[in-house]
Parts: sequence; C-alpha cells; structure tokens
Amino acid sequence: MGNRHVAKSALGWRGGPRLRSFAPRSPLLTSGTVLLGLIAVAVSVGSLVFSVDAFEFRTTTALAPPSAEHWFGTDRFGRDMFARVLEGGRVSIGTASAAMVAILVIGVTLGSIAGYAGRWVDGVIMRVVDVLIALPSFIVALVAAGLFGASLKVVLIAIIGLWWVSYARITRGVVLQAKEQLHVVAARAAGASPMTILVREVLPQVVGPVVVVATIDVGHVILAIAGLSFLGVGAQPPTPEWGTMLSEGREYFLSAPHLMIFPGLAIFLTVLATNLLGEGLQERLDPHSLAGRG
Amino acid sequence: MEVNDLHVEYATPAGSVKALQGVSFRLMPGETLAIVGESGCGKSTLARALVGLLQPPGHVLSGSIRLNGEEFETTFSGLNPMRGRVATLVLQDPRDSLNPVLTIRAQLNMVLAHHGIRRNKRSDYSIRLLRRVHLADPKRVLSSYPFQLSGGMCQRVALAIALAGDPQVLIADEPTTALDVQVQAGILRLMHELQRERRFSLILISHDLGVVAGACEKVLVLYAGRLVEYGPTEDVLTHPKHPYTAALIGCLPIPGRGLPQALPGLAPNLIEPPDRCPFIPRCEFADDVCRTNTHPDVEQIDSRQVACYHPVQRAEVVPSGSTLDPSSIQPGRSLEFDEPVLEAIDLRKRYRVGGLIRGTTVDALRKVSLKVIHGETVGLVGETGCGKSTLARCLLVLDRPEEGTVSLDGINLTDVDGRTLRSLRRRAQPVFQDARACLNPGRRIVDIVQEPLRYFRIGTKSQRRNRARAQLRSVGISDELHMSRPRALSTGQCQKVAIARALVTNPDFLVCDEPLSSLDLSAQAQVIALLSDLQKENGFGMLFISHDLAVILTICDRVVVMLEGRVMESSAAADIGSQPAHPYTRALLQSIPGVVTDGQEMETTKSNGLDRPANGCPFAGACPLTIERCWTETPELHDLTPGHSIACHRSAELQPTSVVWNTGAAI
Repeated sequence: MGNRHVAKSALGWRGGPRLRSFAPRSPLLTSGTVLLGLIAVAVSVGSLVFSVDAFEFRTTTALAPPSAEHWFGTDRFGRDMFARVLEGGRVSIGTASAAMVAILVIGVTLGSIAGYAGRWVDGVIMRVVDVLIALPSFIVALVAAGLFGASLKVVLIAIIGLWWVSYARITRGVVLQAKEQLHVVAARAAGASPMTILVREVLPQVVGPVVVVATIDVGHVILAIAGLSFLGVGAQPPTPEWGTMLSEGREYFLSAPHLMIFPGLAIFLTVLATNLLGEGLQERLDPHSLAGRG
Repeated sequence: MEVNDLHVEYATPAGSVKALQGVSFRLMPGETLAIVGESGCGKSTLARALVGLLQPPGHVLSGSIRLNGEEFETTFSGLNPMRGRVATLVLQDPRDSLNPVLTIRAQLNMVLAHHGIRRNKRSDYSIRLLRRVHLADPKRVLSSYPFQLSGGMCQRVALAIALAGDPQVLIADEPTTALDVQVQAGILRLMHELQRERRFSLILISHDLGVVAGACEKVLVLYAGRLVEYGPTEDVLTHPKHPYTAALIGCLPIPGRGLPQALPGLAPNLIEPPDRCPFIPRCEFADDVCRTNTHPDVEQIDSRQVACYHPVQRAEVVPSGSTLDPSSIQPGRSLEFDEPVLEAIDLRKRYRVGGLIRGTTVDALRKVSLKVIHGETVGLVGETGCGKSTLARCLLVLDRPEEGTVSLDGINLTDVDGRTLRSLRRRAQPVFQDARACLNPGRRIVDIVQEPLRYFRIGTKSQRRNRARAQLRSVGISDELHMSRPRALSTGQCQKVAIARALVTNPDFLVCDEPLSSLDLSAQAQVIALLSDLQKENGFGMLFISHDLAVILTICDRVVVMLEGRVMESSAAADIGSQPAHPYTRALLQSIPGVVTDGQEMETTKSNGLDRPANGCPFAGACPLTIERCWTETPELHDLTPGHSIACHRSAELQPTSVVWNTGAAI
C-alpha cells in the first residue's frame, strides 16, 4: 500500500490497472483455458470426426478392454466407450452450461433488483434467498425426482431453482457498493434513468465477480448432475451421461474397470479445467491479488 | 543531516524512472526546512530515502545521507535500529498510517518497547506523550481505535508516536493535506511548538507553499526530481529566482490579488528523461541556451542555490508585509439579473447512524436557506462534517431533504416526479471532490463527456461526440487525450473532464463540492481559472463549496459560513474578508496562514460534540463571547445590515474587527 503511494507520487505514475499488462501470464489461466478448450473441441467436434456410433450394439465385443479399435474399450452391450464418453460430454457439459445460464439470468436479475430497489423489495428477495440457501440442493433434487419422476429435466430445474441464490447475493453486494460510487452518483446527477444506470454503470461491475464464480460453479453443476445421474435420478439410459455411465459400469468394476475409469477421468478433467480457469480469472480480475504481487 | 548528490530511481518495466537526480542539502540541528513541489516531483521519494524506507523497485543509485557525520543506510533492510531515533516520518494520511485494528495504547506500547521503555512505565509515558500533543483526555484516546478519532486527532497520535523515540530529525510528509485548514493550523502550531521545545530538526514536505512557508526557515523547491531553488524562506518567496518557484507562488489563492495564475502544462514524465532543464516546456524565459545545454548546475547566488540559466531577480510576486485593501477582495462584478437561479428554503436533513436499535440520528442540515443568483458565485465554507456536502446533494435532489424546498428558476424540485426531475437535471449540474472517482474508469473521456447528452437524447451520436470534443477543448483537454480512459489522466485533468461533463448540457447552475481538495496547488489554480472563465462565458450561477476560506474569498461574490448544519453568517465576500462579524467566521479567517485580526485569538477546535449543545449555538463551546443564553437557545439568522445576516446572540455587541492580510508572511 505504502509502496504504491510512493510510486504514484514520485513518478506521476498513474496506473494500477495498467500493471495488468505487465503481470506475467497466469499459469492457472493458461492451463485452465487450454484444458477446457481441448475438452470442448473434443466433445463438440469429436463425435462428428469420430464416426463410430455411440448407440450401436455389438454383442460380440461386449466388455472389451481398450484396444486400437475401441480406444476406451466397450461396455456390456458392446457400445464404443470413446464415442459414449464424447457423447456423454455433450450431455454433461451442455446441460451444465444451460443450467448455469439460467442460474445467472435469474440470480443477476433478482440480485440487481434487490440491490438497486432496496427497501421492501430487497427484503422480500433476500428472505427468499435466505430460505433457499439453507436447503441442500442435492437432497432437494432427489426429493423432486421422487415426486415428479426421475429425469434430467426435473433435476436441472431443482438445481437451477436453488443455485441462483448465491448469484443474487453476489450481485446485490456489488450493486449496493456500486450505488454509492461517485461515478454512479454522477451519472444520476447528469440525468440518467435508473435503468440506464443499472445497465451502463452498475452491471459491468457485476460481470467480473460473477464470471469468476460461475466458471468454477459450472464444474460443480457438472459434478452434481453426474452425481445425481449416478444415483439414477438424472439422465436415464441409454442417454450417455458421465454419471449414468459410471453407474452402469459399477457392476463390472473389477472385471472391466475401464467402464468407470474413462467417464470418471472425463469428469475429473472437466471440473479441474473449470476450477483452474475460474481461479485464473479471479487472479486476473481481482485487483487485490495483483496488489499482493506488487 | 547532510544529503549529498542523491540519485534515486524506480526500475519499472517501462524503463527506469529517475525520481531524484542529484539532490543535496544540509540540515542544521534545530533547523526547519520545507520541501515543496507539485505532485510527482519526488518529494515523498526523498522523504522515504531519508529514513531508509525506499522499497523496491525504488533504490538509491548514488549519493549519501549522513547524520551527525555518520553514513546512513539507504536501503530498505527490515527494521533499522537507527530509524525512529534518528528520523521519523509522519505519513500523509494519519488514519492510513495507524493500524486500524489495534488500540492507540497497543500501538504506542509497541513503539515504546522498541525504544526500550520498561513495561510498567509505558502507560505513564504514553499519557505524557499524548498530553504533549495536546490531546484532551489521553486515557480515552489510549483505549480508542483509530476510526473512533478524527483525522486531526489521528495526526496528533502519529506525531506522539514519532516523538516517542525522541528523534533528532522529524520528517513530516504532507502532514496536513488531508485535513481542514482549521485543523491544519493547529497541527502546524503544535509541530512548531514541539520543535522549539525539543530542538529537533524538522523537514516539512508539502505541495502547498502557503502552509509550509510560514513554518520553516528554509525552503527547498523540487521539480522533476531536481533541486531548482533552495534558500531562506523569506528570500525565496518574496524574490524567487527560479521561474518555477515564481510560478508556484503565483498559484497561491490570495484574496485581493485576483485569480491565481495557473502554471500551464503538466509535470514531465520521468522515465529516462533527457539531460536538460525539465521546466523548459512550461517556462516563459526558456531560450536556446536552455534548450541546447545540459541541465543547469546548482549555483550559489546570494543567499541561495538556484538551478537556472536565467536566474533573474523577479519582481515581487506579492508585496511583502503590506496590508491589502479589503475592498479589492470583492471581484465586484455587476450582475445582469437579480432573479435567483436556485433557491433553497429551510432545508432539513437527518441521517441515521448505526443500527436500527442502537443507532441515533444526526442532523446534517437544520433549516438551511440559500440562494444563488444567475451568474453569481456563492461560496460555502465550513469544517468537515458541517453539512456542506449534504447540502450540495440536497440542492441537486440527489438526496431528498426531509423538510424545505429547493427551487430551480421557480420550479420546485422537491415535489416533481422522477421523470420531470431527470429532465430538469440538465440545468443543474455537480462537480465533485474526488475527480477520479466520479469518472467511470472503463469509458473513454469523450464518451464520458457526451453521456449527459445521450441521457437527454440530444443530437445524433456524431453530433454528440463533436459537442463533447468542443467542450473538452474548452476546458483545455487536448485532442490526443479524448480517446483515452481516465486512468491515463492526472487528477487535475480528471477534474477538468468532470467540469466539461457538467457543462456539456449548458446548465444554469453548478454545484462545486470541494473541487480543489484532491488537487495540488498548480492544478488548483488551473481549475479556479477555468471555472471563472467558463462562468464569464456561459453565465451560470455557481455554489462553490470549500473548507478553505482563502480560496472562497478569491473567487466568490458572496460567502455563506456553515457550522453543524446551520448557517452562521452570510454576506458579501468583501465583508467576510475584511470585517467578519461572527466569532466563528473570525476564527476561520485566523486559521488562514498570514491573516492577523485585531482582538482575541480564536481557535476552532473540532471538539467531541460534548460541548456542542443540542439546543444552543454550535460554536458556544469554543467562542470567547459565550453567554448563558448561547448554551440553551439556538440563535436565529437575522440581518445585521441589508445583505449581511448572522446567527449570533451577541451580534449587537460585536465589535467590528479589522483583518490585516499580511500576505508577505502568508507566503
């Protein structure tokens, strides 16, 4: 802190943010981006390039170990595991991303309304948040599946319905802070309407912290969906979802471990990638972690 | 202390920054030295180098610092045992330099332990120290945390900590910049007193010549990391030899001298500077000799050292020791209209402090009335916390007053709906104190300025941009900066951008809330000149808020004095500056360096609220004329003479005071 003061006054050096361009590239950010990029490319393009059908039964080669023909082996119906892992990635990552978008839309909207409007609106929204945050999402999802039938859709709705609250909180905090910032007051004094202020002055500040948390959380959503599918309440066979695949492979764990190793590895790598990326982003967007580096 | 040819640089990725280049001076025991210059001239670097607190990437390239003939360690090397006993630093922001999570007792004990005071003696010693810096009730202060104390009190505590080691040299880096003029006067007096008593040498660092000059025997002027002039205060300030010193003196707001003369341009970039006089681009005397030769050597001329090829004897910038004619204080403009552009009647505003259950309310405004006529500048002066900024926000209806009305050209702003209020905002605009914070850091300058036009849907996008560019040029922001973002600008430039934004919709009324406080002296002078020029051109009415009466008196037509949410006195600037009636106004005047009033010495003590009665005069605790009635009954504002109103029970008995502006001593 003190050091910065000196630097500023002595050099007329007005930066801080400018330091960013000098900061060494974050290894977290780079590795996270590369890993997630590879996974995304493999999952989205892979099944087009790789022409083996993920649903084709080949009883002759059931439970075959990894080979040149079937890189990840085959499952009990002789379906190609590599194709299924790729296809499962589409389901896992796709649904998790869609869920995240829904979570963000609901969370940021309600959070900014609460923060900006204040008074009773804030009170009502935040009490709802308080209640929902106390509910364990995993169990609520199980209960919902019990009530409305086990399907990916039900599980997703349960997860979205509970997970938006933390984003509402983050957003509200940033908005409350931003409301007092002088350039926001200045915009108000200059005649900007509440909507303009929210969209142009306040929300851009929400983006940073929300993106960081959301990136890490996508991994958690993937895990949750996989976990629920593993328990049999999420994606239903024959849909190749990583959690479902783990569940299917469980019976053959000793005789054909590849059935669990490859989907498990896929989940692990994806979650790792989102975590790396999220923390890398945090390092990059949060000025405090930069100041620490000096 | 002896400093010889000190060079300091900061190694940054953009190149090495030469923060100090060959600075030398000698400090005798018991001597006081002022180091002045604009921000970025190397003042703070020098202060840090002197106590061995330079931190990487800053380091001493060459040169030496000797203390009593002993070489002083100039690198940052953990805890230096010499530090504290030898030279101590009181930092700019007192609250910043005290640990926020420790009580004052704990912090003092730590320092005392370092100086080897026994545990059982520390408490007595602490109390003695706090008493020495004139803190009333030292026991309470000891068990307080920094946030519970005012800025002035924190500064006194910091001073006590510095004194704990009984230093031989005390270095104070901008000790008063964050404080009100009134508190600042108290701190300066205290430092002087301590310095006389303990015979330490004092180095006072400031951007404000007016502040340091009265308190120091010698002045050292720094520019771009180089010594430009060094000599006895009186000689340097009355007959500056270096053009930069003369320009700095010209920046001082001195009532009656007209507007301060702004120094054009900006301080140079210190990354790999050429070996030439850095002042050339801003110097009116620069010629080919300056441009073709290397940096001029420091030469001894008469009583002082100057680094300039043309060290001419300049005319006295301000006649020394003379009394100014008070009638010259008023700008004396004749106003075309006498209709108020803005009128506030009986404003009240209350804030809740603390939680719902244990909190209390604070009356920020208690029946404040004010009016500003078209084209007029009204100055609002008062200490921190007197409700000035609340008033500014209420006048623009950024906060809603609980009672009272604000009308703009006869339209009552307090009871129109949101949409109408927004459309009226283009006619009343603010300029804030913290220029940098009021600009969105992510946006380009030109977009920031055209934003208000966008809000009011004026013109097409390119028309708006052109208008914004024109406005930016009119405030002196050149074209190449228009597409940059606020962080590329100096604070002074940011304030100009803020002014451009405020004026882009052609408002009739401008509220400037302490627009100078975040700026150094030369930027202040630029902004003052700018505001006054723009006002002449556009004819808007202006409310100019400041804690500095000297500034107010240089630019305002009328002055309103506020204390604790109440108007104490309101009159023409000439009256306030030459014959103030209210005791509080007199006290404010006395806190301006160089002002002498006849009659009693008064001090505005920002007290702890105990002696500020809820019903009664807010100044009763500090006023020499207090009578019984002042404690129980609030004085109402009444006319003393037409146009001069005052809130004082003893207004009938007040003796007329005459004020002597001893400007020679002021600077």
